[in-house]
Amino acid sequence: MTRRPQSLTTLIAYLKKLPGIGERTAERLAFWLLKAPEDDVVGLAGAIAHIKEAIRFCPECGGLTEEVPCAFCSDPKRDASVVCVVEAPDDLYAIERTGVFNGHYHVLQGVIAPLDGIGPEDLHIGPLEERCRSGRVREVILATSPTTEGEATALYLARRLEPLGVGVTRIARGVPMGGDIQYADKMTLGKAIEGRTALRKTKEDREGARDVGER
Amino acid sequence: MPVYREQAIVLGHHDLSGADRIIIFLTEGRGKVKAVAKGARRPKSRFAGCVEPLSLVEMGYFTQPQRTTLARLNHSELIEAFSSLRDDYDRLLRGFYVVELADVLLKEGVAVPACFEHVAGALRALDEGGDGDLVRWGCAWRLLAALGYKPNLSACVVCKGEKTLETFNPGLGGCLCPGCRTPDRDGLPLSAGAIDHLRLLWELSWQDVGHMKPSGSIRAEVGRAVELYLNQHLDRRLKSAELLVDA
Repeated sequence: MTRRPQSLTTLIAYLKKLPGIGERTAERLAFWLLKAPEDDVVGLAGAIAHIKEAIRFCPECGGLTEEVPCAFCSDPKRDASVVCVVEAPDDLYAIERTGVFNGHYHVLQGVIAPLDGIGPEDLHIGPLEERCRSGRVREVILATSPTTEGEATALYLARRLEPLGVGVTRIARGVPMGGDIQYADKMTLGKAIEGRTALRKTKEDREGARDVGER
Repeated sequence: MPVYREQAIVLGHHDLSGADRIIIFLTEGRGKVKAVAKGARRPKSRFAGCVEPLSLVEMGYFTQPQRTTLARLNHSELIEAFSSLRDDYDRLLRGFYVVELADVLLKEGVAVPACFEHVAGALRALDEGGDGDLVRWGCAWRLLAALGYKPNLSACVVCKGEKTLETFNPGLGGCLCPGCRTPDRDGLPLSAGAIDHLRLLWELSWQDVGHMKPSGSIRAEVGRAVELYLNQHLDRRLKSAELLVDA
């Protein structure tokens, strides 16, 4: 039987709830916290408590924010006519890190997953339709993951949004940078061939995605 | 440490910590298997694109019976992705229904080779543009039969007489003749045409099942009979079936 102090056992039990943390790692983290300077431990505890109070979902895009509307929705330098739809806030930051997209975002808070009983009504789709109906949006880029569930979500959204008169595009799928073609699977390679683009892009090609919105 | 290499249909997956994933797949020789695919969620993983639900894949995996009930995946190569099925939302939902059905009906490690053929056949029929509902009902009907729950559609389940059959009683496992119908032993009214179509769901090739053209009323009767019989043998409603209602 473990004769650990109760407070230490409680801390380990909470740390074990974190993703990817098992009993041994939770113990190591707990002992590290015991040895750490008090300021760091208090700062960490404060940050954890604060995040639940301060962070909320932007009512317009569904992204994480401390202020309403969020920094992306309220930024006048961003192009509000192009909306990139992602599954989760982490995906939004992953796309933002690329530095090539300057439009608005929409976070679905999940994907259609029939095997888990998650349907369209469980996702943040209504506000996206409202944005499209407002007439401000010309193009919606569907950036859900290229998984079976992500594809199902993209197909569903395309069916719902196209009648609203907006251009609906899908992010390209294919061989990742640095990947070797001979190791790519049939499906990935097939999608890469289907989604091929001109090597020497004209100005029109570069703005091709925008044209979709105007067609 | 036994190592296996065989064709499999991916039925589903669950995310594990990090980038790992548990893949649930159906094989012909070893039935339903659950295996860990290390790093499968990374874009450059050797498993990426090969372990997606509704794919026919060649799987290489090994088991460690003394350590865990989960197998470990060390190779996967895509044989058929059923790409056309993935381009249509309605057919994709029916594909999810087929794999969920197989996952729920089949037990881990119990091989029923006919079930593998039925699931692969149903996915292929959906991919070739067959009628999605007839295909999913046909799959449920055939899986139940392969597992030993084939209902009797040729004679009355009570008197065994091959007279006119007019109702289907899922609890009794087949049809009843007018003489054997009582208020406490009734069932779903079925026309002769619907009974014929239910038989055809077993007998025809998958391609023909997908292209049957029953009238509206017969189609509704067939769907009700299959769903009723399936619910009799399942302890819960399929999650993917909820989405078919809304689609």
